[in-house]
Amino acid sequence: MRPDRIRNLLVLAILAALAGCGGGRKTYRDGQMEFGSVRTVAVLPLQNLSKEGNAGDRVREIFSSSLLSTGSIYVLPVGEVARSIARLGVPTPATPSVEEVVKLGKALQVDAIITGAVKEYGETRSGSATANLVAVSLQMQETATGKVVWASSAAKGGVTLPIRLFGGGGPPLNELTEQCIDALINKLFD
Amino acid sequence: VPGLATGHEGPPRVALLPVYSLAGGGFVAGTVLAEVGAALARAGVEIVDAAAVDEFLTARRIRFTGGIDADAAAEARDALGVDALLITTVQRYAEVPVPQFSMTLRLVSAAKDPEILWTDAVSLAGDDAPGLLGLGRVTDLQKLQALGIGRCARSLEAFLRGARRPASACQEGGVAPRIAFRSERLDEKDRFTVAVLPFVNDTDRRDAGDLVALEVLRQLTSSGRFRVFEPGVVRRQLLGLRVVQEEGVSLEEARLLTQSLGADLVIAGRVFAYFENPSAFEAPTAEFTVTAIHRGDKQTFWQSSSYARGDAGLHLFGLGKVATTGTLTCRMAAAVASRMSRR
Repeated sequence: MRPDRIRNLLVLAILAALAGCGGGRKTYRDGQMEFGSVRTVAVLPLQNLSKEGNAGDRVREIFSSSLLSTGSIYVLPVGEVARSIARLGVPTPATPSVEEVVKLGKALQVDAIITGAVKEYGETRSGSATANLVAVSLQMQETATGKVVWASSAAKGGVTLPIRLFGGGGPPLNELTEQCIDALINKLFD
Repeated sequence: VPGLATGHEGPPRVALLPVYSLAGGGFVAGTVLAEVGAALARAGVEIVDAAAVDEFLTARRIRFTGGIDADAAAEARDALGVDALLITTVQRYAEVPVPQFSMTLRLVSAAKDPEILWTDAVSLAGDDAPGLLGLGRVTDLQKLQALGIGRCARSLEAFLRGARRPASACQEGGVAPRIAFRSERLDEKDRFTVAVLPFVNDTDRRDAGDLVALEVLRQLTSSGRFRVFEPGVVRRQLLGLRVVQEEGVSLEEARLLTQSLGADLVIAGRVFAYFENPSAFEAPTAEFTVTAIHRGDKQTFWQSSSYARGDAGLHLFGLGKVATTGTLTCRMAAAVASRMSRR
């Protein structure tokens, strides 16, 4: 094989590898929505699709604290959200219907409801290497109509080349969760 | 006794409540109380006979000795003639793999409105300071317990002799919350009255919610900017109002509690990790959130998320290691209280 062809193949392989690492995570934003008008939100329990029992609650608490610490949006205490969910009898609070979102919005007096799912939370294995991985997707629904106005997802961690070569497992889950949440909040405020 | 002013002649009288265990037993409660009682006696305090205290508790069917409610405190003043009650909580008493001992003491006034006069805690591990060739290592749990009780007792003695409220023993090297929100409205008043609720426990460690809440309470009291309600008073209100926290405190519950207690803030939280059996592969770990809700407009004044491992600051030769989850929690709670009280 000619050297320039080998070089081209190498460049293609690197590009393909880069495309597989973190790229392609889309964010949806409603162009009609005035996000500056969202002052108060409620974060509903997150759907936990991971093997870790309380991953949903952990990620939810970190997301609530992080969003509140931005100083731009007020987040209702989780206890208050739980009370309204119980009072309204929402059977699946992690995946509410549009009507339920509107009802919750009125009961909680919030501008938007945030729902989502923890898709990965824990150790992942690739060959003989293991590393922590956190993947979260969130969506925001405005409470006047229940319409989805923002949706995004982020993932942090996983088996990277340095971990494959040197081991170590990467950063702890808590740190990855914070990174993941920071990435999502940045996307929300973009 | 400068630290314990009374309205009567003669030495102040103090009742020692039976030891409340969050450690799961194993320790000799009599030894703990005897040591603490000796420290009080040295400071010139008269101790009420243990049999009289037992009789008082039995007559009023008081089983919970981890706190004292307003009625019981006032009744103790009248029935036992005491000026204060000493509440002792043992949080850790374990042999494996290295001995560990943790306890908290709290002196509460015997009045209709019981006030926390003093509180201090100790959390020790046998390998806290191994020193050269491990000569400083404590392998005997009884010895470690005596060390811990002695340290707390000396602190109490110093307070009774007129020293200021003890600062957190672990404040040096406070572990800042990973994420924190602080409302500017925490600067509105010089002093807030605070009710600390038991934290929701999401761990395998029984009573982890109470352990962390107790530490947060102690740190807030030590900060001086918060007048913290005695946990026994808060507990009675929770039972009276039938407040059951499954996921945290709701705004309505916060309103009810603050109104009935006359508190400015309700502090609640959730514990996600409380690992206290370190090994060669795992270090003590704690993870919790703290939320403070104001009574007036039911706004969140503080919210934080803290996470730490005992080996995070580890240097060569084991320096910088935090050996117990009690000390780790103390450092984390101290940083929360410090940031909350900072103006």
